[in-house]
Amino acid sequence: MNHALVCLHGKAPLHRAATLASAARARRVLVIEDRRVAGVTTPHDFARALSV
Amino acid sequence: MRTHLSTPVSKLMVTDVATVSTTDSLTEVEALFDRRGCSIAPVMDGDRAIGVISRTDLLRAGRREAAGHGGALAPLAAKRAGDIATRPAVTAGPRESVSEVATTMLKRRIHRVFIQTEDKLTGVFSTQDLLYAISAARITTPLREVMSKPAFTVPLDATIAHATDRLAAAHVSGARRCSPTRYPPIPRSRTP
Repeated sequence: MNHALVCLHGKAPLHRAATLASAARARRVLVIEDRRVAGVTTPHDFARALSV
Repeated sequence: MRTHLSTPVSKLMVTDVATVSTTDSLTEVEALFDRRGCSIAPVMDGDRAIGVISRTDLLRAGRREAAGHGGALAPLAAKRAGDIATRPAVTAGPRESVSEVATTMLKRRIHRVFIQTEDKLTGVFSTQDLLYAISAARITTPLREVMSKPAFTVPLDATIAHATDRLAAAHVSGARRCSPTRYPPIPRSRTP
């Protein structure tokens, strides 16, 4: 198990998630809302945000 | 450098790419992965990437079958990189934009695209470079608009078998282990 976690609120901007994930050498960012895991931002979600 | 989504991928790609030859043994491939700290490499025919080989391919070739139980490592199969490479390598041209390459990564469900200039490998653009591009372009879309949901989790005391079953059932490649009552805290400095 890898303990390194990058967690952000759902309102956080994508660039912030990318910066933190890059610094942590992580590929996924947990999205927390109302103290619950609301979702996860995966590499493909990041790619979708940039795709044509 | 100010990054836009139309920026040519050649401006952000990594040019120092670890490569293997079609004739390299799987032992040599594993040694390269260990030495370079990577888990995938293009398989070269001369200057051209004709496929890719990953640690997963090595596992499938029979390596490390007993490692998880403290046993001796099984010898690598007597095959060459070219024998088990996934073909073709997904490539893009250096003038393609970051957006175009991101679209390729999305459609092919891959984490890196090799960049070839006139049939010669010149770099690689990976998820890490994608993250840099998003960061540099200051994309402000809220995470909740792009995230995947739900996030599949397993209890803290779940067995590995339970976790892998959960992964297989959900068709995903990663899981977060969370307490049913305590979710990962959000540091104040990281809230919007």
